[in-house]
Amino acid sequence: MTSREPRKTVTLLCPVEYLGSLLIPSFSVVGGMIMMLCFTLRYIFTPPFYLRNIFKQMVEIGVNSMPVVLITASFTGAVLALQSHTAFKRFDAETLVGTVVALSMTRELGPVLTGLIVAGRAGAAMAAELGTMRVTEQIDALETLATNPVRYLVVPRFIGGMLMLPALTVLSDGIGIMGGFIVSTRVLGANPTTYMTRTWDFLEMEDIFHGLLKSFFFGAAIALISSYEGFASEGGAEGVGKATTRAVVLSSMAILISDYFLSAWLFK
Amino acid sequence: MNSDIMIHIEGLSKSFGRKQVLDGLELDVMRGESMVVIGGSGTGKSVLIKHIIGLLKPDSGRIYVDGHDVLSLGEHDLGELRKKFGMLFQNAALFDSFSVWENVGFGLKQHTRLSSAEVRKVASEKLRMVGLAGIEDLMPSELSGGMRKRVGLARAIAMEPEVIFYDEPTTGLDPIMADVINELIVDLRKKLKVTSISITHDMASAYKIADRIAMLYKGRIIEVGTVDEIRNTSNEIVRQFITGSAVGPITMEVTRA
Amino acid sequence: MRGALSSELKVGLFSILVMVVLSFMTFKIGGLSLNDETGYRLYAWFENTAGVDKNTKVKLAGVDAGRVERIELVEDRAKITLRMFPNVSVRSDSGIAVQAHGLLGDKYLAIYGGTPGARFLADGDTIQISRVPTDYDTLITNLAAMSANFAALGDSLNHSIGTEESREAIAQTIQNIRHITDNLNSVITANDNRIAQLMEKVNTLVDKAVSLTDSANGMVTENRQQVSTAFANLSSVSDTFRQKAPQLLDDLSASAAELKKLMAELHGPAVNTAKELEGVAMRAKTTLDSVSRMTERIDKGEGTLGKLVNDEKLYNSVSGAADGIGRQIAKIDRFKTYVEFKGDYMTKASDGKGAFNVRLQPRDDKYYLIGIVRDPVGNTDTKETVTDVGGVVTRTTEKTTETQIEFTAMLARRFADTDVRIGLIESSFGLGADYHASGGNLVFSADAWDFGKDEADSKNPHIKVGLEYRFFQNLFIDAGYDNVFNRKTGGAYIGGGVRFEDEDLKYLMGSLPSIPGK
Repeated sequence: MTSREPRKTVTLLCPVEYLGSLLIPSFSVVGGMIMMLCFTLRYIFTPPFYLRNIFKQMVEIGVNSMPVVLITASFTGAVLALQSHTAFKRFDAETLVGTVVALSMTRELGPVLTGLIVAGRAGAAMAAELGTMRVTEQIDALETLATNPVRYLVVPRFIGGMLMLPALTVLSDGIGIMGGFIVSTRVLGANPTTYMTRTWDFLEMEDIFHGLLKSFFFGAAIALISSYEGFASEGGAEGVGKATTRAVVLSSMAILISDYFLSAWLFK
Repeated sequence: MNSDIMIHIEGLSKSFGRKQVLDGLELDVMRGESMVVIGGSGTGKSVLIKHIIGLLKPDSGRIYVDGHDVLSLGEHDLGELRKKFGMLFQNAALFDSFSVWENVGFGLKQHTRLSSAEVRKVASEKLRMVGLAGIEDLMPSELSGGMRKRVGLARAIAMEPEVIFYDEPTTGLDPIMADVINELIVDLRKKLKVTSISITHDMASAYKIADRIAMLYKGRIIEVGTVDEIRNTSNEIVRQFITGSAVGPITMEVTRA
Repeated sequence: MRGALSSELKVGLFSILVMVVLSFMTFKIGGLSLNDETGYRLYAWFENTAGVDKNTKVKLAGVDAGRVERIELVEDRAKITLRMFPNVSVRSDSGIAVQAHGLLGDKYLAIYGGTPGARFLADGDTIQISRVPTDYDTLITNLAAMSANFAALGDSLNHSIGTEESREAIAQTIQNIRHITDNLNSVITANDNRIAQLMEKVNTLVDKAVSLTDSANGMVTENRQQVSTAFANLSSVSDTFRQKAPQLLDDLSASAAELKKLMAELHGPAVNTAKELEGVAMRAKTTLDSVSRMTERIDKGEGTLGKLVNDEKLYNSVSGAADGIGRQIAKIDRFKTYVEFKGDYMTKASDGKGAFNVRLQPRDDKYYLIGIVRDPVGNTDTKETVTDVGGVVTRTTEKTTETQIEFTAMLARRFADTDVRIGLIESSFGLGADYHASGGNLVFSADAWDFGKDEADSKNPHIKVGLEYRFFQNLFIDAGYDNVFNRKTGGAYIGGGVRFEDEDLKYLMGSLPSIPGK
């Protein structure tokens, strides 16, 4: 630390140095993630495969996230119906509420909300679990037991995320549309047949599949970011806590940012 | 290369950021020998072990284990080499999500075709060797510190390794439990005829388990010798360390207000 | 892992659930896209296919009949390939058009107009007739032009009504009305007994009217020819009206200008009237003074009234009456007030006839109509001038017919869609009826007055029939035939006016004395 003393003279370059000191960790994080992604992608297709771990992660990410995703989706659909009804009533287009709910859910809200919920729930759990394993040397222990930790820990999470996010999104789409349907027909007095006709008439398979494709990427991003943050955590319980927070924040940001680019690319 | 040398390290250097941890380290460990590396906290003892196992990549230098260049090995061969290793971590590093026998049998489960029942049988046997019987189904969180260490030891020997690494085996234990662990290490070496490398700053433990002792100071091994040689060393640094004196050439970075 | 269900089982159940939902949605949405290769192809050529995409629906009689498979540009026209469902049959003389679900909705192709008997189109055939879709841009351009016309109309109306001059005129008029009502009130109070006499006379008059109606009956029978001619005229007038509907805006603009002119003319006489009424007010004041002296005497208990005032029974009945008045005041809140300015062009007199009416409507089925009319056909006034020039006495009888201000005061009751009015029409006793059609926008009116044949050149009572059409809430136009049975003065009229409802003038009426002070 004493070596820092003479640097004070170069005050002019301090802001530039500060900028660099901000950027270098970001670069190393991005670089680390890309490295981990490369390894993960390679390990997905090469044995050994840890099927048990994959199933375990599928339960953790998919099955266990189902209740919260479904509750969120049903209320999102409901509030979409309520709000768009208010708006459409102003120009007598209430019959389009079903269309709006269906399109919003499948194209945007289904994938994104599911992604955010899974990021908050499963992503945080991943980062915390892997972070704890890192600081208690369990990851090193895995290596000494001749088990590749990326293969053993990250790949199952990655696969689980990629498979379960679209699956949850399918359920989320369906439940969201049902939520909108129930509010529209029971509360707002829409005609159930018209509502459903408008829903299915204007919805294309494309809408659903593009939504699922997006959620596939979201799942991969959540698993990768959360795993990386867990693996990179250091400094005991505090470090694990920070890693968990960063995992959720970065995953959520990644979802929302990539959502734009994926939408621009898919729905152009 | 001399086939009696199990581990050969030359010119090993490693720095973390600005901090030079290992600086041209040289060390040979003979087959079947128990080598204890001593040194102050934060001098890079754990870093040395992690290099030998291949957990860390050095900035420069070479490491040979049983004639293989560790650094040039691919993932598969490194995995094969690691099957010859066992390691006891400082805090045991048991897998929280597995029960005791699953922890002990983890390597067997991964690398052998044994059935669960057979793995469990082997695990029980290893647990008996470390003096723990009937705790197979407990979870790591239910164990005391000493028990965890012993379960970790059982896991380290489960694959019948050729080299066992002990990272601070007695740290954080009461003197009696520390001695129990020391006895176990000595006992295991007699039974299993393994090479072992231990790192510690507990001199009582070092004298008890070591064939030879190496002193790590400022990134280098400054002295290697048998227990007696070390006890009677003329090197002031080693002398200061083994006697545990605050006065001497080793200056601690202690900030005084 | 240690739970009752293994991870594998949980994931399996979950996957089944997901597959069920996904296949349900797939079936609902893409059921058609799966069997893309079934059915047959038809072709159609379009000059404009904006909004049509691949997979756009094709409907026959409003039912889904296929999808657009392909759109390609061949030279300068679009060739559309339709994939029709196998069970759908299209007649060879059918047409195809691009249509939309409402202004905002999706586009679809509608097949229409196939006649029974025509053969069915087969795979590879072309639908020959294609209709270019409604171009919304053109529609909007037309709408814009239309609204520009309306704006011009609004401007000219604003010009005629909104000027300072006419605003003053209106204010003046309202001021005058206030005087009139005040004075009227005084006059009525002062002439209580006379009103009684008047009512008696009215009674007699009604009796006469009854016999008159009888004779009118006869008269109508006699004059059937004339009446039917009149109606023929009326019908031709309305025909013309219908034909000229497109020019209506221009006409209206002109009549608005006319109205403005009338208003200015009205202004002068109204002031005179107000002066006359001031005189009346002076007299009324004198009357009030005497009433006041009378009241003093009553207070002292003098005379019959004085005794009555001290009577307990009277007090009770007065208090009962007061309760009644209280209810009346509550009713005033329900009052609706309409103010109407109207101008008609009389073809016979070649002159305008202006009217200002106030309609007080306490209930939906009853109203009072009070108004002033400037009548170009005035009453005849005979003036005898005696000149004595050097012992030669010249006696000149001069008959003057002047344009004059007349008053309207009527009571109207409504029965279903018909209003029946009775009272003064143009300062003469009269009867009238209005029939409201088309939600009250179209009114047929018939009026009869001047049974005393006091009007100039009148041999018969004044009968007027007409219709009035209301548009834009406050504006109306009217036309009809005036003075049907008097050839000299009778003729068609046409005009229009403005009628404000109480919302528009509430604040003005609010300052008028709605109940006479005690």
